[in-house]
Amino acid sequence: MKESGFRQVNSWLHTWSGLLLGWLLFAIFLTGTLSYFRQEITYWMQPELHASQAREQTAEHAVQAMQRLAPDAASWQITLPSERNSTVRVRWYDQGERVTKGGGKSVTLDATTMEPLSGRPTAGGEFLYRFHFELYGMDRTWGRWIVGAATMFMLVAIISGVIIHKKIFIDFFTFRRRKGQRSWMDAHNALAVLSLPFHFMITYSGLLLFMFLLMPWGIDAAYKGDMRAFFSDRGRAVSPAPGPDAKNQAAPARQAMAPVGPMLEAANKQWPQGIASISVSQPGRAGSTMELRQKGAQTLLNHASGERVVFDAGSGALKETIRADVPGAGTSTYNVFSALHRLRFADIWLRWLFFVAGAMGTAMVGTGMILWVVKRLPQKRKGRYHAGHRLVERTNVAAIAGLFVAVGTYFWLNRLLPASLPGRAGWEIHGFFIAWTSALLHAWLREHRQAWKEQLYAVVLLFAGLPIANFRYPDSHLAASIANGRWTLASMDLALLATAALAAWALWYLHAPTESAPAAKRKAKAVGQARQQTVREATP
Amino acid sequence: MLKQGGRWLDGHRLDIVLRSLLGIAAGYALSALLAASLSLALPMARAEAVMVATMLAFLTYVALIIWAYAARNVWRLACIWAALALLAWSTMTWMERT
Repeated sequence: MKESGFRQVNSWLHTWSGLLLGWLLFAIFLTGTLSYFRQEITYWMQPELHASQAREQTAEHAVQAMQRLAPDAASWQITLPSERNSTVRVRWYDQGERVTKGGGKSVTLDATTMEPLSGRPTAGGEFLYRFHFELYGMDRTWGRWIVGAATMFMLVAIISGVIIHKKIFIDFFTFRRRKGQRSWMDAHNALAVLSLPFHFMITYSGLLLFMFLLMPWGIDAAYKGDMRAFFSDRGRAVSPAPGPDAKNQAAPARQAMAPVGPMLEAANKQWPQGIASISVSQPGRAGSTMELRQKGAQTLLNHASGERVVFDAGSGALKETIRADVPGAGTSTYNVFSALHRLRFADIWLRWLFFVAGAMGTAMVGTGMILWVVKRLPQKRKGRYHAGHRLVERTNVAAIAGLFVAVGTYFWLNRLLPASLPGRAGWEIHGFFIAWTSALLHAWLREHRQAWKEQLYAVVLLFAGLPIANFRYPDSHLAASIANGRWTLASMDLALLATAALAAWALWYLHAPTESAPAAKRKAKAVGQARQQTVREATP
Repeated sequence: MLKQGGRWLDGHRLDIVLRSLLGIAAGYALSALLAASLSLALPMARAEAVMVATMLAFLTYVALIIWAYAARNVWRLACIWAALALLAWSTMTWMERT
C-alpha cells in the first residue's frame, strides 16, 4: 500500500483473497467440474437403466410407444437417447393440464424394448451440480450470494495473480522439481497460466449467470425493477414448448397420424448430429404438429439452442424451420458466456476438454492453498508458528483429500442403500456431508502428515472399489460396458480408477524417503512433491 | 509488508480494514451506480444497454477492488470515487428526467 509497489500489493491481495475463500472455491471448482458430466453421473448412478441401448429405429418406436402409453394426452415430449444417456425419457400432459417444467407424467423407457424402466431414486449428478452454485442446506438465495461472493474473490485473485507476474510467459515454462516451495509455486503458475482463458471465462460467466441477483441495479434503473418487462424486451431465444395454453380448451377431433419415419428421415438428413428430442401437440387429433429439435447447436449467440423443424403430424408435410434469432451484441455476448459455462450444447470431446480445464482449475486452487502452508514452514521452524497456520494446514487436508472422500462415499451410498429406503436420495447427500465432516475431524485429531496419508488411503479404497463393486450389475461393469461400446459408463469407471491411481501416486511420494534435510523440511518436501505429482498427473 | 505489529489494530491493520471496506462496499456501490447510469445512458435498445452496463459493472468492480488496495493515498482515492459516484448519480437523474 503506502510503502509498497503495485505488484507487491497485488501479491498480498492475491494471497489473502485466495486463502479466505480457497476452501470454498476448491469445492465449487471440483463439484462444478463434475457437473460437466452431470447427466452421465446420474445415468451411472442408476444401473437399472444400463441395459438400454439405442437402435436406428428408436425414435420411431418411441412415438409408437407413446401412442400406447398416452393416446389421449394433449402433448408428448420425447427425449431420445444420446451419448449422455442411452434411455428414452418421455413426458406427457393431459388435456387442459398446464405445461410446466417437471410437470405432467414422465417415464423412462428402454430404447430397444420400449418397456418402462425404474431406476433407483438418486440425487445423482444433480446434487453436485446444485451444490456448486447454491451449496446445500440453506436458503437458495443465501447459497447463491455466498458462491457469488467467492466467485468475485476468485476473479480478483485471477486478475491480481496476472499482475504479479510480469514474466508470465517465462514463468509458465519454469518448473523446478523437488524444490519444495519453488515446485509448488511453479505448479501453481503453470496450471493457472495454461488455462488462464478458461479460468477467466468460467469465473466471469459464473458471475454473469447470477447477474440479476448480484447486480440488479441496471434493471432497477431502466425498468423500475420490472424483471418481466426486461425479459420480454430482451426476448427469450427459446420459445415455450408446444402445447395447449388455454386451460379448458376441448380436445380437437381424432385424426390419424402420418407415418413418422419419413419426417424423422427428413430431419436427420438436415442435421448430421441427429435429433435430440421430439414434441407432439395434440397427438392423433386434428391440427396436430410434430416438432423435432436438433442435437447440439449452430451458434452460441442465441443460447446455443439447436434448430427446430415443425411438421404437420396429420399429413407429414414440413410446416416451418425455426432458428432462434440472434439477439443484439450485448445479449449475444452474455449468451456466449453462459453457453460456455453451462456447456449444454457440447459434444463429448469438448466436454472432456472443459472437464480437463476444470480439473486443472481445481488443482490450481489446491496447489495455491498448499503453497500458503509450505511458504510459512520456515516461520514454523523458527517457533513463530501462528495458530492460524495450524488451522489452514488442517483444514487443507479436509478441503482437498476430505472432499474426495465425501464424493467417494456419496457414490458408495448410491450403490449400497436399499432401493426402497424412504428418502433414499436425501441419505446419499447426508452421507456426503457426514463423510466430509468426519474428514475434518480426522484432520484435526491426527498428526498432519498422517492425516494426509490416511485420507489418501481412503480415497484409493473408495474410488478403486467402485468399478469392482459394479460387477454386481450385469450391464454396468467395465467388461460389459467396453464390450458393448457403452463409453459413458466405461469412462465413468475409468475416471474413478484414474482418481484412485492419482491418490495412490500421492501416497507413494508421501512414503518415499527423501534426501537428508531437517525433519520439518523433509516433511514439507514430501507432501509438496506428492501433491505436485498429483497435479502433474491431472494435467496431460 | 506484513510486519507483525504490537497492538491488534495498529496503523497497518487499520489501513487494511479501511481499504477492504472501501474496495468491497464502496466499490460495489460505485459499480452499481455505473450499472444503473449506463443502463439509462448507453445509446442502444434498453434491454441491450442493461446487459452491457451490468457486464461492465462486474469488471469495474474487480478493477475498483484492486485500485482500493493499490492506491497510495486512501483519502485521495475516496475523493476520486466520491466524484465518480456524483458523476454517475447526476447522469442517472438527468437521464431519468429526459
